[in-house]
Amino acid sequence: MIERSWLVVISIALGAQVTALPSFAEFGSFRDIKVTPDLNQAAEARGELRTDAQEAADLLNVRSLVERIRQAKREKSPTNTRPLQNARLLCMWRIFIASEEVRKAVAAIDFELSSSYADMDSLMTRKGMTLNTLNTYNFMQSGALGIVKQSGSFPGGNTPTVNQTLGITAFGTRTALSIVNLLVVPHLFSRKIDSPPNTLAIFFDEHHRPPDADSSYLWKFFSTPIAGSGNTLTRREILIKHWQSFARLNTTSEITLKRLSQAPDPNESMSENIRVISQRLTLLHDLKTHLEELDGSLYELHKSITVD
Amino acid sequence: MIMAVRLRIWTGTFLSALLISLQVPGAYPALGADGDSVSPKDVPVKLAQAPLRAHALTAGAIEAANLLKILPKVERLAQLNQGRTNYESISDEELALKVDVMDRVMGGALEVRMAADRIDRELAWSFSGQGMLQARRQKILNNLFTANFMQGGVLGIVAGPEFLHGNRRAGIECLLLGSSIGLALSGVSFLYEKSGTRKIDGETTMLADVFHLSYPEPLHQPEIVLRFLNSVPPDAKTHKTRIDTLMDGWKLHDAQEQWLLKLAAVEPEANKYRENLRLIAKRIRMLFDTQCKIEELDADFLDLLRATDAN
Repeated sequence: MIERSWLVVISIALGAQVTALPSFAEFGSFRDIKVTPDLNQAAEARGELRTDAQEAADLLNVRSLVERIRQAKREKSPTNTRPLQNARLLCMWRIFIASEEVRKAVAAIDFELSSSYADMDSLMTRKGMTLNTLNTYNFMQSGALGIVKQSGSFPGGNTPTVNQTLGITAFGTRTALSIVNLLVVPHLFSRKIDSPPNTLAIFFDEHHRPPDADSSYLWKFFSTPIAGSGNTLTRREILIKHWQSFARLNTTSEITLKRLSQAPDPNESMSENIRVISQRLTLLHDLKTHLEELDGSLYELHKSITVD
Repeated sequence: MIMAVRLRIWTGTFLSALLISLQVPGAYPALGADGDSVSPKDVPVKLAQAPLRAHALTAGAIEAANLLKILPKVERLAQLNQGRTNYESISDEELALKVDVMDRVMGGALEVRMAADRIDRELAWSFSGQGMLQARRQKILNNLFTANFMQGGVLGIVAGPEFLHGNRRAGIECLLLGSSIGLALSGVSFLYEKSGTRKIDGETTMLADVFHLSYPEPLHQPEIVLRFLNSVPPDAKTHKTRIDTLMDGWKLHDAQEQWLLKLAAVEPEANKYRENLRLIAKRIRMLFDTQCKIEELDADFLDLLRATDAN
């Protein structure tokens, strides 16, 4: 009896070994990166512009206008003069353009998120149905063979050999179906990538340049290092590094990047599974929150030019 | 002179764009005043033919003007709008007021956006946490079920030959052991159905402002949004603030501070606690409710812009 207990240990260990459901990535701490400059409270106390507003002013090329408006506010001189009104309007105009650029990018990501969620849902449903069906078959065959076996145990029924053969068949099928559930089903479901490339493609391809790159403040924002930081990496490069550690992105695997960004080569057929879609969702959510950081800087810039 | 004309064109275009950007239903009407569909080509014609008239200040517009501290300016602007007969006769005073009002509304709209963005971020994190816990729980349950099937199967296969070889006792022991382990694993599965926790490690959410809990100052302070949440809606039949209404809906008035700290993930106090699926689900619902309430301020801004627009 004791000699056979290793069988029990092995069977339980087998069950615990293999992942039945590809899980969401286990994330690190939420105190993740910030793509806007750190605040300098000493400088602010001296009356200087907040660092994030300062960077936004430089990005929008309105720093001199902002300083002129702030000077007028400090000196309490009239702010309804034509030059100052003009300066305020120009600043607001540019803030509004940048804000709309963020909205446009976020709207695209929202669409990509919703379609990715729909794709993942369909794969999860198919996988769940298969798992449930196999479990039901397992219960049914055990039940059916058990009935046949036990009914044959009555006086005048089957021989013990037949009965035990039925029992062994039931137990064997049970083990086989469990192994299928454990090893085969999780890797069974995938779907063909048929959507156009998503926003991640822009960030993964370091040579990518959108058609409106020259006029896009958002593009400029992500193509430059964080102002005042010692880091010379652009925000785009910082994001990639962040994803490597935060979402375990393997940037050396070209095929992974293609799958995540839904960007197979022309005439190349590529599929995605639950794990890929799950990782894509994580990256898209993260990208969205970092794109929206520009909103905060624009808000601070606008606050600095508002007159009472 | 050229600058003045340019300023006027800018103001007009900018106001229209801002109005559309607020994305409130009705901001860009699909139908004309007579109910006919209006093609984009028709719009300027219809606008040009419309008489110059300022809308009355609605309760929402007044509330927005009060929140932005520009009610006197708005009233003066409405007055100037009414006294004017065409676009060409806009005075310097009116233009300056328009720029001021537009400036404040834009600031308010940016603040709503910034607060909603922050909640988006908090929601994304909460959904990630929820997904992680659900997947972990499902994985453990699936492994337990499979282990249960397998151990029963393996021990059953072993028991069969024992019976055939006349070792009845050994066979029965195998089956007994299989049943006992099966029972134990099923018990563990029951326990896991309701368990699964993780350490609270998110940033302090905006719910801390809703619960009036103190926490280190956030990166951007949404002053107007908070005043809006802490005010009574103009059309309210009771004297309850928007936050009171939210708290009523969540039935949280008598909640213990520790529960609120955990819901709002207030740093560093909440970091010593753990969160489970129930808590995360509640937080997600509350964040959505708060975001929706904050975005109602956009409708007030729209009212204000319409009231001060001479159409």
